[in-house]
Amino acid sequence: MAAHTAAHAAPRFNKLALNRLGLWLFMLSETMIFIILLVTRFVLFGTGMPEGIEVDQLLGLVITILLLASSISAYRAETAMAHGNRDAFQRNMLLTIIMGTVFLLAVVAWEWPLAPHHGLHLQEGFGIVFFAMTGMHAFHVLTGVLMLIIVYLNGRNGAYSPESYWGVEATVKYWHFVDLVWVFFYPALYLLN
Amino acid sequence: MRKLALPLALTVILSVVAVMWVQRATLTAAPAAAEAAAVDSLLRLEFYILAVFFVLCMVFFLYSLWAFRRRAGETGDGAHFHSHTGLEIAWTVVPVIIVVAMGYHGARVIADLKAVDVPKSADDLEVIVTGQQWSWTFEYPEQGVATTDLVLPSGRSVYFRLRAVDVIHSFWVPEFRLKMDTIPGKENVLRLTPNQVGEFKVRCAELCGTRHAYMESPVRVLEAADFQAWMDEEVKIANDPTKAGPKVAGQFGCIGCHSIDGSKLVGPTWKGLAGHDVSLADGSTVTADDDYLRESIVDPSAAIVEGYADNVMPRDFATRMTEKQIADVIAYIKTLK
Amino acid sequence: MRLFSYGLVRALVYGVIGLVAGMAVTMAVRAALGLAAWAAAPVSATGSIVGTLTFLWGVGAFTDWWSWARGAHAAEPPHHHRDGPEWPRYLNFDPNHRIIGVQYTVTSVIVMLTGGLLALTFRLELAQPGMQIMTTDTYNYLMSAHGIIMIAAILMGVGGMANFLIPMMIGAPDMAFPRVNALSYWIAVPGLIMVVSSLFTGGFDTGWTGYPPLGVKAPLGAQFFYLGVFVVGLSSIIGSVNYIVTIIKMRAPGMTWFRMPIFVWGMFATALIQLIATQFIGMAFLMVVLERLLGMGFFDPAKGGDVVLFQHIFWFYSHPAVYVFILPGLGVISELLPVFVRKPLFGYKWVALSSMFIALVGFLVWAHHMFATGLGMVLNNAFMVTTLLVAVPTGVKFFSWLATLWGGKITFETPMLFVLGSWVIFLIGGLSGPTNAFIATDLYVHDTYFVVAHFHHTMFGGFVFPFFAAIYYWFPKATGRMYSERLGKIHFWLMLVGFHLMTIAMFWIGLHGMRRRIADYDPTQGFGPWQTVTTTGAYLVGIGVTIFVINMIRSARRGEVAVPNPWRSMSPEWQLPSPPPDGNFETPPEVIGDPYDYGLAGASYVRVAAPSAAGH
Ligand code: HEA
Ligand code: HEA
Ligand code: HEC
Ligand code: CUA
Ligand SMILES: [Cu+2]
Repeated sequence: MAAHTAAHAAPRFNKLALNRLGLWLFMLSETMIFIILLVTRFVLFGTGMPEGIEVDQLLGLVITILLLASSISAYRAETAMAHGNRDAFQRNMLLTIIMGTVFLLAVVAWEWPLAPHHGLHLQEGFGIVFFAMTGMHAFHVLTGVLMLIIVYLNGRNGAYSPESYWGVEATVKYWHFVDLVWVFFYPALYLLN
Repeated sequence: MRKLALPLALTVILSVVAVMWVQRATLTAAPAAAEAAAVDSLLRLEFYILAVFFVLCMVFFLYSLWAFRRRAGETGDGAHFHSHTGLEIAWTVVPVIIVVAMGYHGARVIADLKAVDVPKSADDLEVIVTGQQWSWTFEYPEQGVATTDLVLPSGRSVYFRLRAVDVIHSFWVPEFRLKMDTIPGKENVLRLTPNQVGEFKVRCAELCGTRHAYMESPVRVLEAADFQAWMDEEVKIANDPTKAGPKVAGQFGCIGCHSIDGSKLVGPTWKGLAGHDVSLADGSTVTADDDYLRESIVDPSAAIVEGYADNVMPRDFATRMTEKQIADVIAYIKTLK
Repeated sequence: MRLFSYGLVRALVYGVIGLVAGMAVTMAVRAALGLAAWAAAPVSATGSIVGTLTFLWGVGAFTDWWSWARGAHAAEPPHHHRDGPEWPRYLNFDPNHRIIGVQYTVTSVIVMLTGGLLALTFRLELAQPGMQIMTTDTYNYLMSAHGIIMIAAILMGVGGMANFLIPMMIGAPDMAFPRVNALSYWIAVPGLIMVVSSLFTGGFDTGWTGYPPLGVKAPLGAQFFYLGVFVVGLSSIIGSVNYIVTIIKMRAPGMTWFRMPIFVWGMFATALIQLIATQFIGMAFLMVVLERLLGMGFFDPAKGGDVVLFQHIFWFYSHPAVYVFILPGLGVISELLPVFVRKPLFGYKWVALSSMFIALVGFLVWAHHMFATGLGMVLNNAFMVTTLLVAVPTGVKFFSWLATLWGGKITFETPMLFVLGSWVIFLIGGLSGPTNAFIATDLYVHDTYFVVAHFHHTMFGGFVFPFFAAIYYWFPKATGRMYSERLGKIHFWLMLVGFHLMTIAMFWIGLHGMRRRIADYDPTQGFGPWQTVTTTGAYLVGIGVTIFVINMIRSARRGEVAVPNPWRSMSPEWQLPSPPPDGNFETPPEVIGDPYDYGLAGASYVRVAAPSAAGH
């Protein structure tokens, strides 16, 4: 995004450095959202899992692996672009988008409807934090997938080059961030006992 | 610098004046509990320190404005100095010392009061306070008595258990000094020792909706003997079914909606209810036995009387009334032939 | 249509369309799901969210991102040509920091007038015991709206000062992300509209703190209040990213951290707080909205929730937020004192670092608002001590200001009067803080008018007065014209006297047991006469502010043309023409000295190449 003042800024400011710092700060701020949700979970329900909750361990494990794998493909897409390897970029981007979408569907379209059978109710008990945490995370995954799609399409139209691929970098960093959040949410929602 | 002499002298003089004023002024509402002495003297101590800092700052401030104002025809800038390490260390370290010392003292004061966050001790009088929109109820569990006025003996420490039904309220008698919130789902405790005979008010100190301003209940502090007499009377009432029932019905506002003389108010009359058949809105008929009466009180929506609306009678009596109170009021209804 | 060329008009039209469309779609979906189509809460919730987005779309906030997403390279925003009048820029999505600064500032004043008007209304009711002109519910609605609207006004004012000043002061051409910057202003507008509209959609009677369970039971207006604050919070977060990046990365050559104008230090600390803490109020309010809309019982003990949890999350933002309110204001005080005293700021480094210290310790004190919730002794004592510690860096500022005054050549123009006024007011406000911090005395004064007086003092002294000082001081910079000194002085004296009449009485009755947030008070406690004094004072303040508004409007249109540097300041922004061209400096200014070397012969702070007439 070229700044309005690019004419002045170009020689003096490294736009990329500004962008990077801005993105880090934004993610720092977003981190707070997830910290609040984690704290809520632990304050309300302690470090264990309340009686009568049977989360789908297999599903949890599968989608976690899926999301981590998507982080790898996202990373490979970024390095591919850095080396000018467009085919690999397209391939890995697409893979990431697919895995992200599957994750999203697995949570929202599969796990949510089943949740009440596992003792998770939207309005009371552990279900409150389960839906709040997966919901807030899913919202971020959704925005991430949308960004990935935009970058993918732009990339296909030749928008990025090894010299200038900030859009790719930003999206991929954001995607890593979303995955990292899940690394903390997964044990808090599935593993603790 | 010679210029320092005047403001320093003024600071000393005015500090003494300010401290003397703080010492004499009536800063708070008239005290009526043993805890007030410690709270008031901590407040006074704080005000001494704050007054001295206030005077110090204001004197130098006003003096500078006067002494260093630009006079007519003067040009040029002020003296050029940036910083003074000694001064800066001093005005950092001195407040740190004051603050830490005062913090320690403040922690001691609240700990010595033994008013909050303490277990009940054997000779405390126990009172369960319940806040609801927008009234208070007081229960004396050891005596089995419940009232809407708070009556306390002078000179005996009272252990309040604070509960709330609907939203947060705050239990505060200004003359007793300390306040504590009543919170749904959490029991707070507060121990106070009233020591002035007189009439006061519990004033709800946490915004709780429409009538928050008026959520006040009378407090009467009596001599120990008078309190005992009052309590004996209340116990007698509580154990006399013909008296306990009407009292409960008045206390929870039942008679606002239910008449005892057969006339129709917002709710059906209680006269001749017990033991008779009642036709319900769904077309069925039930006999008003003990179980039915009980159910009608704790879960009014379970059976709706024909000709009356659902959701009119409050649905929280189950949480607000004790078992004994429910039994009392049922016994009372049964007397209304 | 000519009218449609103004972003604001377009935004409002689009916003209303979006609101209606969002509501219609929600109703259709509900009907399709077999629910009753009309349910005020969910329908209006989605409506207002969609309306917010279409508002932004209408103003043009998304135009560039949209074309970027469609693969086009972002178009350069239209360059402004100086031939047309400048005022339409203020009604449009304009990425220039100076324009955004003025937009924020004017919005802040308008919002403050709204909140003030509410206060003047409910003060009439309080003047005497008994209910005279409104119901207790109306009182609660007005009081709650007053609190949150005033706080929103502060956030806007902070944004105004930050945007207008930071780039010029550090010698940058603009903010790091100009478009994001404009977004941060424009997103606040629908948020503010929502907050104010709460009054017309049923009101909310929870106070600005919105504690559940009361907040869950409150009328529909509460939903607009929660959502509105959430949106305004987004604006704060977005803005703070910009400030931090700009300050870290875009300082002029030679401007080391300890050579920045002191206001920038204040803003840096402020932005750090906003960046980290604002999410907390956002989440707290979002969780209440979810409890209201979907029944998710975060704060309902019957469903496994916890009432007090809300207060922890809320105050983890709202305590640090009070330092958001004051740090920019204290920055203004530190910035202006040297200019009017003609002497360097005493102890620059310590003053700069004290802002950082206040910001850091500010994160560790939140539970001092919750002593009465029964936290337990250990936590209580810890929070008491951390709270008291904040007195130390604040004291450093006060003593350094005193030393700055010492030996100066002081003049008393309107901005300086406001600086001096805020000094006194904030001193009293700050000194009343420790009384609340001691557990034993707080359990007495908590939720009384003593606290009300405390925070009006801190907010007037830490924000309102410095904000007025800043407006007067930089008015010539923004408009190229001079305000009326005579009206400015009248404004000042009315405010100073009126304000103290108002709050000294509040302190006194608070100590004697006057609860806050009550529509009516017990006549036997004898507060009536004091309350009358408070109301009188409030009206004096109101008259003063009205004079201020008149002064500003008149001077902006017909004021005397200002000389280039009316205050003989060394700061970079005064080396520019007024108003400055887009891009500010033709070539980056070079920092060659310390910022406040007044009184040192031949000293100067920055070297600025003489700017040519036009920006481009
Ligand atoms: C601009 C806003 C602002 C500022 C700067 C402050 C500053 C401080 N506040 Fe205030 N406060 C509020 C806004 C602010 N506050 C608001 C809005 C509320 C009410 C919220 C609500 O419930 O609605 C509130 C409530 C509030 C409470 C809760 C009261 C209650 O509800 O029971 C407490 C308790 O500790 C407190 C303490 C302090 C302290 C210790 C400071 C300190 O930072 C002050 C430090 C300054 C000084 C002390 C003066 C200068 C120092 C010296 C001259 C040095 C020497 C002094 C000493 C050694 C003591 N404040
Ligand atoms: C910056 C913050 C700010 C400011 C400036 C003010 C300003 C004022 N405040 Fe406010 N106040 C708060 C923040 C603020 N307040 C907060 C946060 C609360 C807590 C709420 C809660 O408990 O939840 C509060 C609560 C509060 C109370 C306690 C209510 C209660 O507990 O029941 C009172 C009572 O007197 C009060 C009074 C006033 C008055 C008289 C002014 C006056 O100074 C106002 C002066 C008037 C103006 C500034 C406007 C003048 C306008 C005109 C004359 C009209 C002209 C109009 C046009 C040109 C369009 N305020
Ligand atoms: C706000 C009005 C209101 C209050 C207060 C109220 N009630 Fe009722 N009550 C009603 C109404 C209306 C009905 C009839 C509808 C129903 O059955 O729920 C009713 C029904 C009843 C019945 C069943 C009567 C019948 O004819 O079958 C009983 C028993 C009863 N209430 C007891 C009480 C008691 C005990 C209290 C106080 C502790 C009380 N009510 C307080 C309004 C009220
Ligand atoms: Cu109960 Cu206020
Ligand atoms: Cu605080």
